Amino acid sequence: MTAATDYDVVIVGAGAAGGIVAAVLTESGFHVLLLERGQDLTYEQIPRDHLRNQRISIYGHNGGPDIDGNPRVIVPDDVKPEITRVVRPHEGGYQNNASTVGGGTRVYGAQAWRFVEKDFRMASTYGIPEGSSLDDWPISYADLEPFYEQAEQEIGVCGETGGDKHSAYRKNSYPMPPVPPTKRHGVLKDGAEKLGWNTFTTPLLINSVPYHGRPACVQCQHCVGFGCPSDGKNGTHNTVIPRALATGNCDLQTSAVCDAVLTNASGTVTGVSYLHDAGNGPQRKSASARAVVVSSGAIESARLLLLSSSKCHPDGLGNSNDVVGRNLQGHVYPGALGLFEEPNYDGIGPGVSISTTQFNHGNAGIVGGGMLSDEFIKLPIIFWYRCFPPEVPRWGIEAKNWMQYGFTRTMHVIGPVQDIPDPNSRVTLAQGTVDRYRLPVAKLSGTTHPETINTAAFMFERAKEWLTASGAVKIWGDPPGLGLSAGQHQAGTCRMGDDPRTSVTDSYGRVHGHDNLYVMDASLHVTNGGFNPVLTIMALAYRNAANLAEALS
Amino acid sequence: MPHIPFSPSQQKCMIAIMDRVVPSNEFPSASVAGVLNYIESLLHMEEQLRTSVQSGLDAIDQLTTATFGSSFAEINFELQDNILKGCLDGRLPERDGAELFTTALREFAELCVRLVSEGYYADPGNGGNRGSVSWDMIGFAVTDADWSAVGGPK
Ligand SMILES: Cc1cc2nc3c(=O)[nH]c(=O)nc-3n(C[C@H](O)[C@H](O)[C@H](O)COP(=O)(O)OP(=O)(O)OC[C@H]3O[C@@H](n4cnc5c(N)ncnc54)[C@H](O)[C@@H]3O)c2cc1C
Repeated sequence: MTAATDYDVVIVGAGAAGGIVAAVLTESGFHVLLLERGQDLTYEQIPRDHLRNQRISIYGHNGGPDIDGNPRVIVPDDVKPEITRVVRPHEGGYQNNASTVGGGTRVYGAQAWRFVEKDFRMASTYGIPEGSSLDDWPISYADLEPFYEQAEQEIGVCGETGGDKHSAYRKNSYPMPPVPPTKRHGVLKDGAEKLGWNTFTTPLLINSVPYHGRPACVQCQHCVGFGCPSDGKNGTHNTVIPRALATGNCDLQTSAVCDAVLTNASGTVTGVSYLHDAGNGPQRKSASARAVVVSSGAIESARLLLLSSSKCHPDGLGNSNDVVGRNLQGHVYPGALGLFEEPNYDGIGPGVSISTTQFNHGNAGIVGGGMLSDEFIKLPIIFWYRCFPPEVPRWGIEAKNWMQYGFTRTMHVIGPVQDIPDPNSRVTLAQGTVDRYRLPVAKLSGTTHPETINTAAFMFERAKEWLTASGAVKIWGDPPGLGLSAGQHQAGTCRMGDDPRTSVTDSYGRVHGHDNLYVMDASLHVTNGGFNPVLTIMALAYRNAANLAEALS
Repeated sequence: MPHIPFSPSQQKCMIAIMDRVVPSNEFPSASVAGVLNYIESLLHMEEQLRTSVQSGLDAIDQLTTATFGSSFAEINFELQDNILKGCLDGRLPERDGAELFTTALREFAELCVRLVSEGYYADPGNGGNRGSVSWDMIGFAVTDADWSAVGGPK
């Protein structure tokens, strides 16, 4: 640490990326302040409440953020952008991700996907659909491959090495064998074989065997959306963040909301200011640093840069070309439900067990594609909400009979499709709506590009095809419609690139025009792949943090 | 868990409705599974819902009293089902040429279907689904592991 600053680096957000950046920097000897607006939640503090969790949040949720004092403004209708709605974190349209030490990784489903080569070259592979901001990444799969491996090894991934015939080159095997296949896996595998589709066991950031001193998964039914009872689900909260703290070089400050990245009179980043609430009201604090890393998740990172305006940076940091907050994307999720004559539910968690990447690319007339898997175990009330065939009444004896008959016999095949980014799908600062600290909140507007819906319709048909071939006697579901896409897979709002007119950071996450301001999280994704994004977020964080460590030396 | 008090007639009406939403068969009906407990404790926390439910229950009783001369709880199952279905489908019998259906009635019926199902199928910690009875019915079993043996919970 230099005497001139409080810290070498301040990291804003202790989520997927922020936790990794903290470990890489502190283990390289740098002194780090890791700010997290949420708390370090224990297992007991993330209740197994079936009506209030990160999967179904009717009256509240677990894992944060607090439902009071953290609103967002959404523009539900692209045609009439003047109509807005203020929503709380557990309400529809908010696009929530968890807010706690570990961020989304504290409660996620832990699917551990690498993107494939073409995911980094979408514009050169497909051309640029009209009205979209589709672009290539400034880096390739090969640049990220060693860091995917590092993430798999250090956070801990189980998977079937060599099972995925469409995956990109990988140097080494998964560090853990795959989880045992479920009964549904067997049924869907037979169906896929009839279709000539390649399938394999879904890779997961879950201990299939004891790993790095923590126990194996106990195959419970409350994985996605909850904390892990055996601590066998791997996030940054139980891997890299404890490592960072163990170095003695990391100060983790929880309940600390960063409200601005600070700059001096000449516009250079000097540190951060934040509001720390230890339970007796917020205290304003600040910390100076040689570099600041914004890792607050795609929506909040963009918001923080926009909030950090000053005389030198009137439109916010890194935003002189009006790119910050644009290209907000996530994943549209087409899926189909199929009823089978025989029960196929065996209760073995996490439930997602078999996947195909047959359609991630190479689909005639489609820009990209997506992965398909079976679904995590459904909470019974989620089954009630989302899994009734259209003709079955939702009340009376028929509804009860359906629940009794259908729960063990219904399969859901579903997957994320590659979002085609739209520059008008964006995060801006809301005028007149503030959070508990009187800071303007994020306003979300726009929709995904129509090509995304085209892909979703195509994948919906593939999901139905898979269920039919597997023996489903009845199939239903709805292909997704046009709408804002962000959610738990939110990404893209500070995209990387070589051209400052169309990107916010360089290929290492350094904000254009700044020497010591970085974004490291899902915001960097130029495109979000046809896969769940977290392993890519992690790999990028490893790569970019290593580069920052070098730059600081 | 603190509860809101329904008036005796509201409570009777609520119980009658819930047992049409989830009637008994070889598995218990909603009221036997404790769904009243779920709804009363939920309404204690959710003020807006409370008003909707209380006024909805009164409206249903008024409707059946006007139509059949008895409160909802006192008419037979078939008539109860017809009233609920009529509210949900927007088709209630006219009376003396007056339209009895209102969108408020439909919204209330939809709300009842939702609340009762939540109580019946959500975790017992929410007050309904006593003894996980609905989970036994559908085949959702929760792993009962000895967490301490595997090192958790953390
Ligand atoms: C229920 C659920 C299931 C999921 N399942 C999967 C899956 O199976 N596979 C997959 O790939 N992905 C999954 N995800 C998504 C995955 O968790 C996210 O993609 C990932 O966590 C995003 O990483 P990030 O670093 O961009 O942000 P986050 O992990 O969201 O971290 C950002 C952190 O910054 C904090 N923060 C924000 N603003 C501030 C501020 N101003 N000051 C201080 N701190 C701040 C937040 O509280 C948060 O902890 C899931 C997410 C959820 C919630």
